[in-house]
Amino acid sequence: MTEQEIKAKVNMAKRRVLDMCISAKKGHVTTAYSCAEIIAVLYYAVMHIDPQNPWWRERDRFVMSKNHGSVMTYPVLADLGFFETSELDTFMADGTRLGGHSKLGLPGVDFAGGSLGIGLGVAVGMAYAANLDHESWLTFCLIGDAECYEGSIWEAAMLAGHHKLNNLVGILDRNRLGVTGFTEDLLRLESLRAKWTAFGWDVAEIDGHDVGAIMDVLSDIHGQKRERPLMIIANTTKGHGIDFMSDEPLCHGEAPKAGDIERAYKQLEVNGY
Amino acid sequence: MNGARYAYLRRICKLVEQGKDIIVVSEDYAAPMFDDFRIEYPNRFLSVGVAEQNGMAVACGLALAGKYPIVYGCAPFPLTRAIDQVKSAVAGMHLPMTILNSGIGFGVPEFGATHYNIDDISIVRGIPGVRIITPSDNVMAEQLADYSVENREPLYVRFDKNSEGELYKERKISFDHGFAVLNDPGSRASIAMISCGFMLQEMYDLAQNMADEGIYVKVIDLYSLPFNECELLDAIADLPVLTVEEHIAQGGIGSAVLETLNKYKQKKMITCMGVDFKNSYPSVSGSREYFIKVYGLTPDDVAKKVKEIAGIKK
Repeated sequence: MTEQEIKAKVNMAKRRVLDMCISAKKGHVTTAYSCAEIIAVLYYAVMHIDPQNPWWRERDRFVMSKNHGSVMTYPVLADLGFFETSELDTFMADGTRLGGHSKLGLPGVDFAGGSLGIGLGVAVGMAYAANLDHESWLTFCLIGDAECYEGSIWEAAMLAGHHKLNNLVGILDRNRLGVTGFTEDLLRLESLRAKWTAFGWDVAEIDGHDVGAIMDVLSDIHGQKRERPLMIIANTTKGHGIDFMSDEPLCHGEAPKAGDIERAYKQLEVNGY
Repeated sequence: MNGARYAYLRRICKLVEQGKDIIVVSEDYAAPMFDDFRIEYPNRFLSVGVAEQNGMAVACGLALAGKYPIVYGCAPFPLTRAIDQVKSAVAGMHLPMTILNSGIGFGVPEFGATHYNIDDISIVRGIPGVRIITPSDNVMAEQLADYSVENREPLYVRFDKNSEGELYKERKISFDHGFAVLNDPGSRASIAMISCGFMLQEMYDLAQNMADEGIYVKVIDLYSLPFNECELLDAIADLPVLTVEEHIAQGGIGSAVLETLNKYKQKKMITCMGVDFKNSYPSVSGSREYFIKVYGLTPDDVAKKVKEIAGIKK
C-alpha cells in the first residue's frame, strides 16, 4: 500500500474511532490518536497477516501493550476483513467483543491486555519462542511512554537485550503525557534513547505521525539482518488532529461531549491528510 | 533424588524426550530440582533472573506461541510478585501453562514471613479458571506432569519439600475430580477429615494410629480445586467434618468445603483447622515444626480435635 493510501486509511480509522467513542460516550480517543499512523502502517504495509486465516501460525504478532489504545486497531481490523465492519457499532456495548481493552476472542487480536507493563514481556516470550524454533515471523509491540514507569517493562527490556531478540520490534508511543500531566514533570523518563540502548536494543527515533517516516523504518523490517531487538521511539502528540484535545492531560479516556462533537469532526477534516 | 518434586521433574524430562514442547521459565531459584534439567536441555530452560513479573509475562508469550511453560521460582514469589500478571494475562487469556511454587506452607519459615506460602490457595481461588493442585505423593506428582501438558487450562501447582512416598500406588488420579478417599473405614467412621499435601500425609498416618485406638477416621485428600462438589458431599455424608491445612483459615480448602456445603444447602458440623495469625505475622523466626506447634496443627492437636468432635473422651 502506498503512503497516500495509508494516509487515507488513517483518516478513515480516526473518524471511525470518533464515531465509536462518541456513540459509547467513552473511550481513549487521545491515546488512540497518538498511535493512529503507527497502527495503520503496521497493519496495511508491514505485518504479514491473513484476515482469512487470523490464527495462521506464521503470522507476525502484534502486542498492544498500551492496550487502552486498542480502539485504534478495531476499525483497521474490520477494514482488513477480520470481522464485519458493522460490529464496530458495538464498541463498549453490553456483551461486545470490542471492549475498551482487547480480548483474545476477536479475530486479529494476539494479546488481551488492560494492565500496563505486561505486553512487552509477553512479546519477548513470543519472540524467544520464534527464535528457538527458527521461525521467521516477527513480533511487534506497542508500548506507551508513561507505561515505561512500570518496572516490568525494564525487566522485559533486559531479557530481550540479553538474548539479542532480533525478531522483536518495539514501538514506544512517546506522546509525553501520562494521565495527570507531562512525563518530564511527573517523573523524568529521559533519556529514553540512552536507556533502551543501555538495555541492549537498537534505537531509532522518528516522528510518529509521519507516515513516510514510519514506513521508512519499518517497510523492509523482514529483510533486515538485525543483531538486536529494535525500539522505535515515535514522537507523537496525544489527541493528534483535534486541537482542543491535543496535549491535554484531562482528556485522557474521554470522548468529546455534546457541545464539542461537531468541532471534533471538523478538526479531523481540517487536520487530516 | 526422592520426593514428589523430583518424581514430577523426572516425568517432565521424559515428556521433553517424547517431543513435548515444554520450557521451564526459571526465576533464579537455586533449586537442585532443575540443575540436571538445565544442563540436559539448555534450550528448554529460560532464566529470567529474579524478575517474577516478567517471568510470568514471558511465559504467557511462550504459551501464546505454542510452548508449554512451567514457571518456577522460590515460593511464594512466582505467584505473589506476579499476581497481576496471573490475573490479567494467565487467567485473562486462559493460557495452558503451569505456575510452580515449591516450598509451600511454612516451607522455609526461618527466613521470616516473606517466605511463608500459606495464603496462596485463597489468592488463586479468587482468580477464575486457574486450577490449584497440591500433589500429595510421588505417584500423583508423576501423573500431574502428564495431565499438565495435555490439559488446556492454567495450573497453579503447590509442591511441598516433604511430600514423598506412594499413597496412590497403582491408582489413576483424576485431577478434574479433585479429591480421593484415602482411608475409608466404612460404617465405622466417626468423622471425615479433609486435608492436602504434606499435611495430608500426616493426617493419613494419624488415622492409622487412631484406628488402633478404635477411632475411625475417613481421610479425604482434596488435592485439586475446583473439585467434584456433589461427589465430595456424598463422600462426607452423615459424618462430621474436620478440615486441616497448613494455610490461613480464610479462603483455603476449609473455606472451599464450607462454601460447597452452603451452596448445596447442607447442614453439617464442620470444623476448620488452619493458621490464624490474628492481627500480625509472627515477630520471631523458627522452624516449620515450631510454627505448626504454635498454630495448633500438630498431629496431637488434630487428634485432640478429632476426639472432641467424635465425642470420644480419651
